[in-house]
Amino acid sequence: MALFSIAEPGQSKARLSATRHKPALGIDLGTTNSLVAIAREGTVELLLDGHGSALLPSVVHYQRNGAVTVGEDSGKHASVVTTISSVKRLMGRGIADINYRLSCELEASPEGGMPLIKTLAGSKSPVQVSAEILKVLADRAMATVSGADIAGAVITVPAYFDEAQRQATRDAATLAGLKVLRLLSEPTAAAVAYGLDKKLEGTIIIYDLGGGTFDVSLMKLQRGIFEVVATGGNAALGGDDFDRAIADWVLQESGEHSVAGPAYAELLRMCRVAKHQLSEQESASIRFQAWQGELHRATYFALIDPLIETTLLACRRVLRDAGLGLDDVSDVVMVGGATRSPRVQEKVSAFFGKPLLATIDPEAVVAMGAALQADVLAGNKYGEEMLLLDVIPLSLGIETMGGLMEKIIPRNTTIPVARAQEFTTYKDGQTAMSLHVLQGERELVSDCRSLARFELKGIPPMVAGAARIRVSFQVDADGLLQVEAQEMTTGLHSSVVIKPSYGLQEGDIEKMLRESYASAAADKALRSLKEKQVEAWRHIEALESALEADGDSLLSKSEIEGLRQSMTELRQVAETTDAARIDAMTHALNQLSSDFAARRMDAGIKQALTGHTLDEIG
Amino acid sequence: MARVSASESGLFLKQTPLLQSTVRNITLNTAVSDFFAVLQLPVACEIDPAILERNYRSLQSQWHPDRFASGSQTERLAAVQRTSLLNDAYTTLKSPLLRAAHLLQLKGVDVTSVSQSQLAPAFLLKQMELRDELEELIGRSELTGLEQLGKRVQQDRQQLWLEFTALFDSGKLEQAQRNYYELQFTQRLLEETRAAEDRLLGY
Repeated sequence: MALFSIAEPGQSKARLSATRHKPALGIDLGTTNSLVAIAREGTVELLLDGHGSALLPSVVHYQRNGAVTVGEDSGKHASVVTTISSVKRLMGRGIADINYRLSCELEASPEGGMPLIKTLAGSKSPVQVSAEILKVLADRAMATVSGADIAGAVITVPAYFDEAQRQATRDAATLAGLKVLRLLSEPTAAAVAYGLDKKLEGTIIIYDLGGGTFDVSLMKLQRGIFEVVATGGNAALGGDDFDRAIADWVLQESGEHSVAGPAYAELLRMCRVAKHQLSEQESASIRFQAWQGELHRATYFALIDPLIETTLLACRRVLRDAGLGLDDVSDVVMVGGATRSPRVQEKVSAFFGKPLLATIDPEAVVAMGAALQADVLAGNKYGEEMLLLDVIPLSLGIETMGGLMEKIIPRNTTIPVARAQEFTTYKDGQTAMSLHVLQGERELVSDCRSLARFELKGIPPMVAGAARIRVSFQVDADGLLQVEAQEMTTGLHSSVVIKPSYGLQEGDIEKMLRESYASAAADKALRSLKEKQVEAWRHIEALESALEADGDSLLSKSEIEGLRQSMTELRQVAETTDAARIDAMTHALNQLSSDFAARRMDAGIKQALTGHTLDEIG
Repeated sequence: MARVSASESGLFLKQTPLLQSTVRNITLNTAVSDFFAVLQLPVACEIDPAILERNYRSLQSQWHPDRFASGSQTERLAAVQRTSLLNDAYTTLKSPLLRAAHLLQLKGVDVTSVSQSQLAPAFLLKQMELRDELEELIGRSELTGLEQLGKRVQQDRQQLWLEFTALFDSGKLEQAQRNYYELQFTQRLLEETRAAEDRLLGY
């Protein structure tokens, strides 16, 4: 069955409205280009604009009078129109996260979270700008079917998008008046297209190199069930980086280093042309200002090979995460415009030791797969033949004492998933607990992404460690996280649905993952220090409350003084980073107080024997 | 309120690890769910991975929330709960280590805490030697050495697993529990060896 066809605007309107199936949309909201496909009765059609083009450049233009246009660069001067490109890079990010040069000016949003982009028509949020692109795509669909008939849309995001970036994408769709059936990872969408249209089965690698992002997923495709086994990538590596590598070479060769603004943009454009020429020719000539030179393939390869190597490392890691070897891979599917590069194909093919699959247009395949999944989620009959099992791309967890991240659901866990873990109180009589929900791979909270904070209040006063607080994480099939905390002895209860407000820095996810390996040793040392500090403070706290309760009745003045002296010393040492001394002092205090503890226990047993519960003794 | 035992009330007596950190991983149901039953498999140490995968996929096809995309809220919620349990069961049974822990739990053996006194001195000594070797290999950045160490530890793990199977099947649960702890140690060493390899490879 040929699943894919191309529809001219308006052409199939009558046919579509005649069916009882509700059509659904698949949208690839890309950094450089966006596309929309429509699914009905298991057939997917890529929707074209009036000029017969499926690709909509993800570029939005604002004029002073408020007019908005989307698409090709108008070429008009900045005084007449503000042009915004690559807005996807701003989605779900805070202003502090944006550390690269932009073509437009940003300002901090008064409510915090994502920054606003200054335009001639006023300040716009990245969500608003993305919504403009989505509106144009939705209009294309409504030229073929009436809006009321559309069941909703599946919108694709990079597999490596975190919760904040996903939420921003959802918000943009809502703003554009689209019902979101699901957000789907781009490589997964591509796999769906291959699985359904090409009847591809086996253990598949999806290598997705776009303009600005790289994703790799390992999937098992079998009898209509598509299982994501592991996913990885680099949120800040794409074909655009090839252009930049050539530009750097030109600047070096020409001795022109202070090039910026429009001149640099023009240089990048020329480098892109040269890049495409080198796909066909042995060399390309580049003329930049007074300089002219020849870029040979060998030089070009030396420039881009390190970038390609980075993607192959991510492939190796995904295989390891899945516990599989190169021999287990049955097919390698190429997705994304940058995979048209012969050098990329050559390297990837050599790495996996097999020919590559690119039988579906690598730029259109994501939107098509998204439309197929949308058809399933719209409840259309065709969907019964297929099922998609997705994973969470980044670990989810909670902050524990000492600023440490305790992972509750590790990355690459199949969703939906529910996991719970028990925690306890740190201080005697602690009546509230603050919960900090995190996303990331590193051990320290400061290196992870903060998703939400909430409190469990009204815990009855108990000795430290007696309360049993169960923290449950639930991620549904849409990837939405709900966190719940419950004190088990009382049934006290508090919960939050995670809706993060702003995102990680560009490249942070990849960086966080890489660092979690590179700095595992450093993390461990730091973790050990933090644990020792916490342990020291816990001893001090426990002894403090024991002294308050029974110090006067069980100890002599000099004994109390000795303990207090030792506690003061430990307090001072615990502020330092000298793990060995903290450990030694904690141990010393423990020795010193052991006699007191024994006396307390004896007293406790005596009291218990006379009819008192130990709860009263604390 | 539950009575607090004397040893718990004198908290500073004990050399406990970071208490407010994890106590244990538990499933959402307070009682231990039988993951073998969930996946329609007989309770056994060895399972056929092909049958495990086949059953998992077939149950996913029936239960997955996407099957109830146009169903009621209640139906979808039930689907989420059932597939969450199914995913947990699959993850647990797929890994021999997690499966071993689950088998012991089903027999009422607590596997959440381990003290070194429960382990044989000879085993601990060997672990210390292997760890020294790992540190040395890391210090000298020896990739092939790490790979070989990884292979040896993997063989140890396989041997321990066979022992666990024999002990568990003959009902020697206490010994099986100790064996499980040894498996845990070995697994951790293997993971650290692989992480070291990753660092050298530049991941």
